[in-house]
Amino acid sequence: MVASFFVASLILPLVAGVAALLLLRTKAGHMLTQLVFALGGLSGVVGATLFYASDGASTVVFHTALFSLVVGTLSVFFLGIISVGVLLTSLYALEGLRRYKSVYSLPWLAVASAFFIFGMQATVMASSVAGFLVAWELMSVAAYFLVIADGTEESLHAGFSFFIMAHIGFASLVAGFLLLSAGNPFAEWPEVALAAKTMTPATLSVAFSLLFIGFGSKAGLAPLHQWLPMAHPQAPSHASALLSGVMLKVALFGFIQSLFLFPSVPLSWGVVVLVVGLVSAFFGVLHAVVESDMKRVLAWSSIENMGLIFSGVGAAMILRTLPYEAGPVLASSIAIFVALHIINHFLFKSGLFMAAGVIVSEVHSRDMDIMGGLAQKWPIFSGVFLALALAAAALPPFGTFFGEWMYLQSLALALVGLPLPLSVVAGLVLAAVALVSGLAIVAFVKMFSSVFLGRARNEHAEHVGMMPMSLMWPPMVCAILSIVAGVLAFPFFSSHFMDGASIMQDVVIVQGASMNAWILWALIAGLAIIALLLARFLRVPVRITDTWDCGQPLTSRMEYTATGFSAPFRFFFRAFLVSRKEMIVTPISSENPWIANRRLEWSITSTWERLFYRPVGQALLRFAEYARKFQSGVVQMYLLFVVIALVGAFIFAL
Amino acid sequence: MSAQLTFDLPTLFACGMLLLSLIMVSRMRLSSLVGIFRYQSALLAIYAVILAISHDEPELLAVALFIALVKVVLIPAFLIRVAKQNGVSERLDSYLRPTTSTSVGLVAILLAFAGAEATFATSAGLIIVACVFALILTGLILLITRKDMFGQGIGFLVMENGIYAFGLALAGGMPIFVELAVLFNLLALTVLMVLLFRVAQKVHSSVSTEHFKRLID
Amino acid sequence: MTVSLLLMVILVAAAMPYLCATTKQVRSLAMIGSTSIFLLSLFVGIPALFAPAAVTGAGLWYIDALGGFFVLLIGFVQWTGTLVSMTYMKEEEAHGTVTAAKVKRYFVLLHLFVLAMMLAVVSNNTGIVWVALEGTTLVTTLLVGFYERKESLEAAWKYLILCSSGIAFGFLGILVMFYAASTTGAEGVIGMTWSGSALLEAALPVSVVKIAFVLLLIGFGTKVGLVPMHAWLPDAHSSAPSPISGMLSGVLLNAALLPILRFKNIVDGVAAPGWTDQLLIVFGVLSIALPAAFVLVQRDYKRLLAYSSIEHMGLITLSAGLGAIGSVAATIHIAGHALAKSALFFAAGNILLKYHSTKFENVSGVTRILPYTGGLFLVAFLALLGVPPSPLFASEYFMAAAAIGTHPYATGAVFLALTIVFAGFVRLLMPMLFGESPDRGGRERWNISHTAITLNIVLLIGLGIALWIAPGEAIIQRIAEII
Repeated sequence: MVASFFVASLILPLVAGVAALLLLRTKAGHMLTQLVFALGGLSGVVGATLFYASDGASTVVFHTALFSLVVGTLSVFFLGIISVGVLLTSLYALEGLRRYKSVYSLPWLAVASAFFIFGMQATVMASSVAGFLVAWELMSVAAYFLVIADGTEESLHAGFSFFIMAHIGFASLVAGFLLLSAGNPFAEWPEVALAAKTMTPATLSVAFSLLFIGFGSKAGLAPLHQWLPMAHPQAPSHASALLSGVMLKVALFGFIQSLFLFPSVPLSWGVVVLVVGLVSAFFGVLHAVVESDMKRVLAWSSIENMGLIFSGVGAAMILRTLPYEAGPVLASSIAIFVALHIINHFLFKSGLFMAAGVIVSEVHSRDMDIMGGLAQKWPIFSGVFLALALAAAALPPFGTFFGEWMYLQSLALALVGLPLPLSVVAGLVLAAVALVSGLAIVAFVKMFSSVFLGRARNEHAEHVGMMPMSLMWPPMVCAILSIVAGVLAFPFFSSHFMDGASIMQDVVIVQGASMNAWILWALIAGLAIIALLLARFLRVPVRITDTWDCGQPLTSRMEYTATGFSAPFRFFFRAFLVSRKEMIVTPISSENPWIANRRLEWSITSTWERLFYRPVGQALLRFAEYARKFQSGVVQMYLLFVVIALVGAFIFAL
Repeated sequence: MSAQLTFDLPTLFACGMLLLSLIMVSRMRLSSLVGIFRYQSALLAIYAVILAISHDEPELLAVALFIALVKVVLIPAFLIRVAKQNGVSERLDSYLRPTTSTSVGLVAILLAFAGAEATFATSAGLIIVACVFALILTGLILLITRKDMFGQGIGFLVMENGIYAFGLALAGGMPIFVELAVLFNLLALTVLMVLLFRVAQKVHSSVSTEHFKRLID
Repeated sequence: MTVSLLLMVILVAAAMPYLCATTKQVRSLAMIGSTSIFLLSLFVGIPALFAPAAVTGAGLWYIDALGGFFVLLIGFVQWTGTLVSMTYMKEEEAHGTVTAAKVKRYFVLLHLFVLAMMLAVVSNNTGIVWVALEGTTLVTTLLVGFYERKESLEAAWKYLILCSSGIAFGFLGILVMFYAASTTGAEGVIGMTWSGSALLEAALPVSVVKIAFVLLLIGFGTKVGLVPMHAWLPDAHSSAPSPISGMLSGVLLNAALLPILRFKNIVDGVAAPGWTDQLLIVFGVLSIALPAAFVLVQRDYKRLLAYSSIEHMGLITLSAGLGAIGSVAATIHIAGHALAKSALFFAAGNILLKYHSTKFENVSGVTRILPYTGGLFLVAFLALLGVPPSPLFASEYFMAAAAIGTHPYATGAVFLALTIVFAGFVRLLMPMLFGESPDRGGRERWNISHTAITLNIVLLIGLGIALWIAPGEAIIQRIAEII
């Protein structure tokens, strides 16, 4: 029963893709296609709910001689996320994509989305190495086509970066999995785990590194993250939502699943994951604070959140292997944070991308520096966006807060409970997470205020049209779900997992590390009632007049821009950000040198690009230049090569 | 099979071919190269005849006849004719000076002897095998060091002579239709080369390979 | 029997153009000719795939499962190649780039080329195999130099000289093998046949056979395009007319690989089994690594495709040296590359006809201006990169599985090289397909070249799917066992 829903959720996207091609010329084609996608997502959601309701064990969804698809507790969790994402974004795309009909070729975009969604689901459901890799590759290539959908040079460049990283990751995965399975290309996961038991620690470490590089590069961990802020903004908004909200989670799923293949997880691996996660989170949030392109900020924020999630995974790995009695328990509570954060990040990031998509399509720009004043035009929408931004900043009563609260609590308990050298480490981790969370707040305050508050900074922003309901309600649903997640998730997890049937093995909630959401709601409700009563009975006359303006009319150019808002942080963290400010002065008048044309160019590059990407790129080009000498054009040289090959072969082989 | 007889007739002819190819390496005149090639092929044909008689294989006589026809008569004629008709210059060019070429040739001969000793120490006479190897090597030297299409073409033909001689010497001749097919192939190759010489002469007014440097990277 | 009939038909088809008055007749007869060749090749090849032992017609032919496989490949690719040639030549003639006489010559040479290739894969006598391969060099030299530009002349000369000199070493190798056979006392022509050599395996002297194999590998390897004997390939394959380039890259390189594989089989029975493998692995890795450097700096798309052919031949050679799983990978890769690369070259021909330039800087926005060709090119390109369900994904995956345990560093180097090649490809080809396009008038009409390319792709994808089904698996296994 459950299996058939998942089969439907797999097949329906492909049907939608075919339908898009068949209905190429019809008016209703786009609508029908997106509805079929939504139907697929819905069936996935139903399947996941049924699975958890019936407390299902592993079910085989689809089986042939050579490969099969299986769902278990871990995979259904991620399938649920994928399905909700597909459902929301395809309903958003009904209107959201229709606006871009002249820019994208909608039917082919649907075909790419079909393969993308199919690939993601098949990756999660694959039961063998070969199936996993096939689905992964399908997913990556389809995502590439989503990124280059508008065919501009920037998109092609971003897509190229994406493609290379995806392929490097894929090669790592192939190597890692084949190493583990001892060269058996058809191994199913249990067989791989069996083969891994017989391997030397050195081989296991190499395999782990390869797998971590593969999954980490797809999840956006430093230093292989550079493609993410380039690629996610270029895709159409509904696809960005899926890429950021869902695909990164699929990479995480792959990583977690492969962890179970190893017979044991040494401490050093956990440390590596933790450190990489924290570094990614830090760089992610830093760039989110500093950038002014709306969608790029969201992409960097995804890197930050994935970094946090991976740091949680790493901390859990460490705590599980430490000889410390509360270790496993703390590891489990951090695991709950990971699960909660997956859900929360998916919700707020998809919502934010969809909302950003609407804003970008109305204002015709992604630059936050020239937006503004949208709260007056779209009051309800700005409320929705505010809710999502607060969720992103991990503030109560949204779900993100509760997840991070669990994380911080667990780290604090580790700080207190662990012996001295380790507790310092826990303290440092705690400090890092706190720093990241704090900077996240800055980033989203900046985003909300520069987009919605104040006055409009350009004419498009000034004359935006009405907000269509069809575009507003998917982000609204995300915001509401975020609140619901906050309220419900914790009781759900603690009740469901108290008895031992859990995603990350048994869980016992640490005493005192809980925050009961109902108390918080009661508090807020109480405060709200008090505020209303005060407003009612202590009515103070309000006078409307000009702001203190030094006698000069205020214009929108006098407001803080996003770039200005982040200036203190740019300064403080200038060691990590390589920013370049260049003022080009061209004198106009020969008599008066002070009358000049001034042009300010300001750009930010990342340290990674300087230290890592550019040297690698240059080394490759030098290698290419050197090799070119072989094709010199002199045919006698070519003949000489043949002779050398002959002599060489003789010496080598005989 | 004749054992280690050092100076019987086949060895003599093999050495003769070797000597001719050594001379050829240093020759820079087109007609001189073609002429020496003709003599070398004649020696090859006679060698085949000797083998036919000593091993009592009449088929080899037919082979010898065809060698004579194709390599002594037809191919040199084609080459000379195209040279005359298209005004190809008599002076050929090389990366090495004649004396250097000869020295390289001598080194090649030494290498050939070493190689023959290491590999085919038995059967058919060490010297013959060495001569055959040296023939192939001098063909290669011509191919690699000559700067024009003609020189390379002749070098290739010399190398083929060597391989043919190898076939005759060591394997007692191949099946006749294979031999004939190979000869026919060689003829077709020469026709092609001649065609390309003509085009090159028309387009570049020279057959030098120095003009062939446009296709790089 | 059927094989002789097949060869005879090809010969007749080659002679036909001289009997025709107009080029339209030439083209129609060529189509009829190549279709009948394809059908006959089905009759020859398919039974061979299932026959328990090799087919020999009176000792003249030797067609085992591997041979039958090659016959089918050649038959199919020449068919689609001829179909594409029809529109290509019609368009070239309409443009005035070629005269009617040249068109006739083209089709004559095309069929002679097919004849020589077919002869090389069916003949039992190794000497004739060599003659046939050298024959392909001769025929295709004229095709490489078809356009009679300065570059064509240069490419033709280099191709002729390099391939002939290289393959001469191959002939030396055949002679040494023959000599080895004669030392065991075998009579007459046996040592020069595939069937005979199989019988003699056990008795052949090891050191002589080793020398022969090295010569054969270098010799025929020149024709396959293995590094460092590859230098003629980019020039030749990019100068020839595109349908011919497709056939050169797709089937000729494979046809030259067949003798190497057959000799490998023989030598494996004589020398230690790993000995040939290490040679194949070395040349394979070299052939994969070097094109990686060149792909990064290419400016011409046909040359890019040619370097890719070198790389794929390297992959096939490497796989062939990796044992049982490697042989399966090699088999799949041979078929996959033949179909994908020829499709790419055929589509590139259409692009060239429209844009009149093979340089990247002059071509962009192909999917907008030539939607059918662009789409087909994209699909073939993805198939070449190894995106599932292309069979190349399976072959590269199996190759990795076979290599990673025994040669981890080589596998790492190969992955690195492959990634660099992918990078170069995507960086150069995607803007060509998707970039901004200037307005050029006229919508593209579906013609027979598109049908032909689609056939290629359909077969390719069908193969990719058939791999996972039982009968397909069994056939591949049979072929692979021979390698």
